[in-house]
Amino acid sequence: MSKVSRLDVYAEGYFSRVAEGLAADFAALDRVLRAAYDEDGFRILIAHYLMEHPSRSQNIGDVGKHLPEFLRSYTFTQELPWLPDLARLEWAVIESFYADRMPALDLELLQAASEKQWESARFVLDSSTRLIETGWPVESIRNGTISDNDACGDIAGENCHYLVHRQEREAEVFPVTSMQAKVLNWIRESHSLGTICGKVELNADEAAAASVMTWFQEWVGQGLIRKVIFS
Amino acid sequence: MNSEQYPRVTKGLLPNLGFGVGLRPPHYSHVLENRPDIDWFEALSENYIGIAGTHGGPPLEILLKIREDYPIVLHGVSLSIGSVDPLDMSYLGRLKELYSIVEPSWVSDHMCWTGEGGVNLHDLLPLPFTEETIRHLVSRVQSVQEFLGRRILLENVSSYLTYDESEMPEWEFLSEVAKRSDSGILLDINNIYVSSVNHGFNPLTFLDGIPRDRVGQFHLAGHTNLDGFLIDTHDEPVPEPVWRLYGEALERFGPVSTLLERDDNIPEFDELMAEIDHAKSIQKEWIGVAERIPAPAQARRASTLAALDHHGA
Repeated sequence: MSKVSRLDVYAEGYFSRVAEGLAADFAALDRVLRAAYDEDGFRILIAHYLMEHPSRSQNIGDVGKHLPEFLRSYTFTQELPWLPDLARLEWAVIESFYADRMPALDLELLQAASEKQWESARFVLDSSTRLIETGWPVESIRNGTISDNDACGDIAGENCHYLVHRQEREAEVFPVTSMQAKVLNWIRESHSLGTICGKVELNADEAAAASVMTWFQEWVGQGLIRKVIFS
Repeated sequence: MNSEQYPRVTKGLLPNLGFGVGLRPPHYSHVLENRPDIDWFEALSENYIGIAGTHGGPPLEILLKIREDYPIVLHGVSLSIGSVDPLDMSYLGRLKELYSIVEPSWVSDHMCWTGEGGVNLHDLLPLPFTEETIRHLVSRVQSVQEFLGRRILLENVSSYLTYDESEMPEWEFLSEVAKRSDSGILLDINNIYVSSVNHGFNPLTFLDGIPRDRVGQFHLAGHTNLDGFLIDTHDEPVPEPVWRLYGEALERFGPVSTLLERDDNIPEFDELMAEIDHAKSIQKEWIGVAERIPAPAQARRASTLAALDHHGA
């Protein structure tokens, strides 16, 4: 084997290894790029991506963190405007999966709280929680509900909100309503329960306002709320 | 702590853990549910230090669950001990934290460099075998061992090119770094074979050039043959020439903790167990040879055989 060919083993090895890792992390992106272009669609994207964002981490799992942002300015796939958000959702799943585990919520503490304490209570979401707002049904593309061929055609834009959360050892994506997403964001911004209920009354219809406490109960049950702080 | 504070290496650098398998995610469920009859596991450190500043997540939880029943050895791929970049203290800190949680039997990485200028190529790149490189490595290995508070093992890598600047063979280079830095050697039998074919040296000469008291572990794996040029792919069963070289290594080094690696084309766990059984049969054969050799030579090997008996008990 020539010296150049021997050097190529290393050159190709770097690219193949990273591309393989990213194809596992961005499986849907890989799939749709194959459908939209050809078998090498994803590998071509990664070749360009690595020129701008070479790996600077000891963990090959970190390599994909700039890919959603890179796709926003990547000219070759502009005809698929939802690609950056699909990548953002897939990276959110990865981040959610690796998030540090938090202690379970102390339910006895909740039962002992007075109504006044609840009014001023603030909540801490599980560290695996990610919220994605997008103008495209990217979860339906990710999970195959919308076929790759349909996705690569002329799909209609649609405001979607997704909650990504790890339950046990798997990160899952849950579609949520616009108002649920707002409430989760208000929780994240450390607003008190009283303030959040007030905001919901102002911003939501009666049915949604009536559901807020049910949502909180579900989120506690799902392990989404990990801590309640009574002031 | 400086390296002089480590117990000086005499015979038997590390305990013989027996036969292990590289722990890979496709086998997590099988291992947790079936507790296979394997002596130990080697886990890749980088898979358990988390991403984006996290601390390991579910993979680390699984590793700790497995750790309840098996000894664990942690094997890294990103130390880049041969690089001219400064040692990455943040990475070393994460490794140290991982070691304190997992309490591995020992830790290892590779005698190579993996990048330059802060870029990680995620590959095990060969070094020029020179006196200057030895001095560079010894200083860095000592710093790493001092920071971690423990001895490390460094593995010989497969290589596809050599440097015109090299002044000595790989085995001499590997041995000198280990001796001067008081580190250990993880002897990868497949890598010796792959490099011997690619560069045209006798693999037995490699084995003969390695000091017995520095070897703490063996690796076994398969490779891909591209028209006579070998690539270290870890995607095939261990081939016959590597098994034969393993027998030769046992003859020279005695029973050393042996680890079967598979990183691609990963089969069912039982298929790996069949390869482990084969490794055991080769070791048994070696013991048979050892029992037939003259008494003075037997005495020289008594300590390693005793270690094996102890393990068997």
